[in-house]
Amino acid sequence: MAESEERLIRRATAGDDGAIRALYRRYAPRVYAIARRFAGDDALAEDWAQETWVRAIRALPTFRGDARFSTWLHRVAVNTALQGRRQRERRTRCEEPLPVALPGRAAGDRTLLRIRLEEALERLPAGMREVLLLHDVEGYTHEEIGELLGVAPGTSKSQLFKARARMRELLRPAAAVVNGEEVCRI
Amino acid sequence: MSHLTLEALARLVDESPDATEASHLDECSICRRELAAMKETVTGLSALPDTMPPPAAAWPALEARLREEGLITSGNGRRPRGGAVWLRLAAGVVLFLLGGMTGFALRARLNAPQRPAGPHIAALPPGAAPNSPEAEEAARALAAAEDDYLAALKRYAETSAPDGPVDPLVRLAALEDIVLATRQALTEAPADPLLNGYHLTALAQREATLERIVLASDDGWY
Repeated sequence: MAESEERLIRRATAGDDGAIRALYRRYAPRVYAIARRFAGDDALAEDWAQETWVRAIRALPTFRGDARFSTWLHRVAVNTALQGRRQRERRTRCEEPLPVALPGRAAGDRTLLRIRLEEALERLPAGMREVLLLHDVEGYTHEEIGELLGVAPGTSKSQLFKARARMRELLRPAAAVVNGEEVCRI
Repeated sequence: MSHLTLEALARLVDESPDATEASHLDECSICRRELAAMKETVTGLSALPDTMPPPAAAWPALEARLREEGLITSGNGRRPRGGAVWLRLAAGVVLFLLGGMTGFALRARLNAPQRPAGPHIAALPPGAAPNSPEAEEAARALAAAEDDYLAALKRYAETSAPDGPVDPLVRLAALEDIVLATRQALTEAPADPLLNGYHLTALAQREATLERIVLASDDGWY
């Protein structure tokens, strides 16, 4: 029978390697997904994911169980990614156009859509990507995003709309992009 | 006429259009299509999988760091997974004996001018005469070790078949244990050829296993 999470956390707090490993097995894919999407590349994602775990294990004694462990860890991962982003310069790659304009999704091909979305996400400027990930992927509210990023909820909203617009440009066929602001003119 | 901007359309995914926007959308199929596409994009984003397998080498690196920082304080850092204890033991026995043989060989080579070649003589305790009871006992022990070594090697070869139940992480765990143990032993006797033999063999095997794990990292492991 699986060991209860509460007991695992108690053991992990005491430095028990088996418990820490068990928590890692359970939540590493979730932590890595957050790090990977915010980072936009594998090497950085690995660093941030590792940093998340080190911070989380270090902070385990402060975990009171008021929220679910997964929620708490998720927050640690997001914070780590946001701090990691602030500590590094914006990569020029983010601003590069996609090598091939991304078409709209092929009917019924969810995998293709997912790949296109992931590719487009990687090419968003970091600031836009953060807000888009937090709101549309992770489900944070603008109030929560404002708190996380230290901006007003209205700023988060405005950044979100810009990010979505940029995503649409990246996902649309090149010929249909007239300019950065407008869909098209008749 | 001017169409709605992409940013306006992005807002309309979450909010209702005002009167002007609603009127435009009623008349403009292009903007309606674009709004539908925008909604699809947002829906697609919310449906992205919330898990991604991390690289297989991520855990060993993390574990090493957690140990460095004193956040892992118990255990030896490696435990076998699901019923593979025997494999770990076999790997340990193989490496122990292999290391021992290497150590004996090194010792024999170092002492070649003074002593006759041969593993039995090399295994003699210090000061024991070739025909003494101690020498015979040492020779018997070495012969038994050789038999064990060959048997373990055979078992290891069988379990190392490509379709066998080999788990590189379990092997890595066994090797890590041996490396730690021999490293500790070498702090007590740094010049001991036997211990150096064990240690070097375990290190080499650990590196090879790590390389295998890294190469197979695309497969995931948990």
